[in-house]
Amino acid sequence: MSAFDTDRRTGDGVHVAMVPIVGAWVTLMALTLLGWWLGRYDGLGTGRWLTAVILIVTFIKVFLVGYIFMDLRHTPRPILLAFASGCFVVCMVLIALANIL
Amino acid sequence: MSNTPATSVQRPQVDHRVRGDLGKGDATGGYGFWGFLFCDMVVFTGFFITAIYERGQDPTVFAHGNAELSMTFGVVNTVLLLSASLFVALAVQSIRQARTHAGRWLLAAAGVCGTAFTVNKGFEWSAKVSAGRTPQDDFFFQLYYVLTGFHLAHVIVGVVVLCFQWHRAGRIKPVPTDTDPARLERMRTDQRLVESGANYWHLVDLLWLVLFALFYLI
Repeated sequence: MSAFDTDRRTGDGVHVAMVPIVGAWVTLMALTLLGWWLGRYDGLGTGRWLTAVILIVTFIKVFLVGYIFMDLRHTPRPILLAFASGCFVVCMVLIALANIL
Repeated sequence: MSNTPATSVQRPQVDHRVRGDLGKGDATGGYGFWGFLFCDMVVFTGFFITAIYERGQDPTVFAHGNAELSMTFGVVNTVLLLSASLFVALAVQSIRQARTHAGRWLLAAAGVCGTAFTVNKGFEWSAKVSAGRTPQDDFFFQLYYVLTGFHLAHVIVGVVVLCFQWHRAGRIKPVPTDTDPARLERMRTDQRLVESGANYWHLVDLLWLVLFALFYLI
């Protein structure tokens, strides 16, 4: 038995591992369509709220790419915390600048 | 009654990383590479803040510039990069599970998506330049060309890295009876390179998601 043997404990491991990845891609596509719709929609009243919502949707997508695609769910907690807090801070800074200026 | 001695069965030492079952505390791609990725993110964060600051200084110019950009190009490019990321993430899982052949096909599909993004960006730029919208026009288009150009350079590097990953993934040929430590270590190194390259590609993807929002959506 070598170190490259496929793990059989969970049945077909590769398919089990791929479910969250495909799920994340479907969610990202849905959020992209939502962002597209929000970007075209001009009936929400103040543009500032719209800008904030679009930026929040964008950074949810960014976090999803990091958490699922970049496998941050399996990396040490400090890297995950640094990435998640970075996403939150940058999103808040951009929303604040878009509203203050 | 059985006469089997009560000794525990010795389980073979298996590298969790290679097998696809990442152990707790394992940094995919390594701490050093994550440091590089965070540095790149910090540089782009400066660009994002500059773009939103300048938008606040001259909202009319930015509103007109935003209206002139083609949403279709932006959405198609987003779909291409997200699909490329899907293929890369699936490729990493396949290679971790010793399905190298499938992993290489997925890396090739990601490369096609990345190349299509580059071509599509070329069409978008040429349409804008033909319409007389150049970086000299106003600060919106100056930022648009510089930031999307810098990102495009990342995409091109990413496609080259994908080719390198494809090559290295081809060297991972696990044999169940193989116990040669040197050969196993070389394959582990190749797998780590594939994982690091994959994370670089995902970085390129997430940076585009923010650029897409800043230039096309808001």
